[in-house]
Amino acid sequence: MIEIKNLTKAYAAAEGAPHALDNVSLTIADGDIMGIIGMSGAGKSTLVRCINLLERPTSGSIIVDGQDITGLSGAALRSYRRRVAMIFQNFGLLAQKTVLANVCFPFLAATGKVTAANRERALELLDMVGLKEKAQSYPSQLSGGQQQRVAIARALACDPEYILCDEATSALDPASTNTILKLLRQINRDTGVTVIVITHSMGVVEKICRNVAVLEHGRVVEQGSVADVFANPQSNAAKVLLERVDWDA
Amino acid sequence: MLDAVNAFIAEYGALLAEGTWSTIVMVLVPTAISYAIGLVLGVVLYLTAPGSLRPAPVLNAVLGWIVNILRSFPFIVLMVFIIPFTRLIMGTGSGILGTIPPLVLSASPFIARMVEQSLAEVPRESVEAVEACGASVPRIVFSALLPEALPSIVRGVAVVLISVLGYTAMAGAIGAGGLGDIAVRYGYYRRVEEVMWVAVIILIVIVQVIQSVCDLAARKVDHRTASVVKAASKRAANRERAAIKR
Repeated sequence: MIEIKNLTKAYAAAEGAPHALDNVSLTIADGDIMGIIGMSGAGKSTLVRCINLLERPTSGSIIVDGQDITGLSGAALRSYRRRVAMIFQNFGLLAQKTVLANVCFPFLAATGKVTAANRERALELLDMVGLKEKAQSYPSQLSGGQQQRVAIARALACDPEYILCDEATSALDPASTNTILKLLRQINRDTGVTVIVITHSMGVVEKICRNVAVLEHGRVVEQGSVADVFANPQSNAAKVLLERVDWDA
Repeated sequence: MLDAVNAFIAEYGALLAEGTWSTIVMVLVPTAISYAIGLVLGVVLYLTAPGSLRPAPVLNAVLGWIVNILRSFPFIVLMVFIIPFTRLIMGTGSGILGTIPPLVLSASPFIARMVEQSLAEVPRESVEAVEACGASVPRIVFSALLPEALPSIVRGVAVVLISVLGYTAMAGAIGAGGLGDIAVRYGYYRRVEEVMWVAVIILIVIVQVIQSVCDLAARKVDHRTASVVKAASKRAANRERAAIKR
């Protein structure tokens, strides 16, 4: 379980400038698929990047399975990061490594070497995302959707408890988006991994999330089950995202 | 015509061959030493930059100053300026040995900046992705950053070698010999223009070979598709122009 408490992130900007995150509190249950949605600049990427400490929060705490992780550094931080995998909008693959070597990278990061068993496991994961025959290809020989599936296989190589998806489908066409979302949902069902989905698309939230939090100007303005929020959006931001407001008004 | 060529070779062939050899040694040896220094310096500059993997503003600024100061010297001034230092470590302030310290001092900061920029061209998400895997900084540098930047670094080698080749022409001022020195001595002082012409042609050939070999090597180690590479090499060309202007 991830409990985010009073999380604030201020960038070293002018005094009184709005905070990227302003006193955000949020609980993400184990096994959930949680959507965090908002317009560009709402702070949703910052929030998810604080969860694996790619960015350091200014104040507040993030408690993962009872442990506050905001103070972690060095080896403790690296071993924590292996429990929290991340996939990115532009895939973040290494262009000079084969697909297989990319998927093996978490093993290399963890132990400094890649064993035959590791490679075996990586091939299993590639098989699961339907790309086993591309193991020796390079990322640039693959389509965007395929590259994102490789990134998912790499994320799973850590055997993570949480997967953070930062706009993971925003660069993809609708067909690839559906493939990726189905894959994430299937992984969630099969392994029980908790998935946190950052997006500005209500369509994505509707398709795979159970719960959703709406962010606006760094604050959580609404949260609840997807069914509730969709049926009866309270905040202006949620209404805009659901296109329930007259756009020409 | 043929007799004239034979006579020319008989008179100047040995001189030009020796000059070519000196030039090649003067380019390759200091460049190799400079890469050992410049790669380390470039990686440190990259890592310690604000917002990078190991931000260290003071170290970054100090290294930046040192690099900029060394790059401010025109090569010929640097060479003369540090002669006492050169004597101290090489035992001589002249000849091919005497050119190594000034060439290394000149090329290392240049290489450091080239390497720093090659590393900066690696997409941010790729670096963050390996960071998010729990990789340590040395692991990120050696298993991700340097391999990803390799094609760009190899392209940089051509720029560095050709710049150093230019510097060696000035090394004649401290009696190091080489093709540049021959071209100046025979073309300017002795007015034997054929020798200058041949020296210049050999220099052109060397530059072409350097560029072709490095381009070929860069293509060989690059696994991105043509369109991605084209965009990257366009950026690299702009960077080279900027680097040379500095």
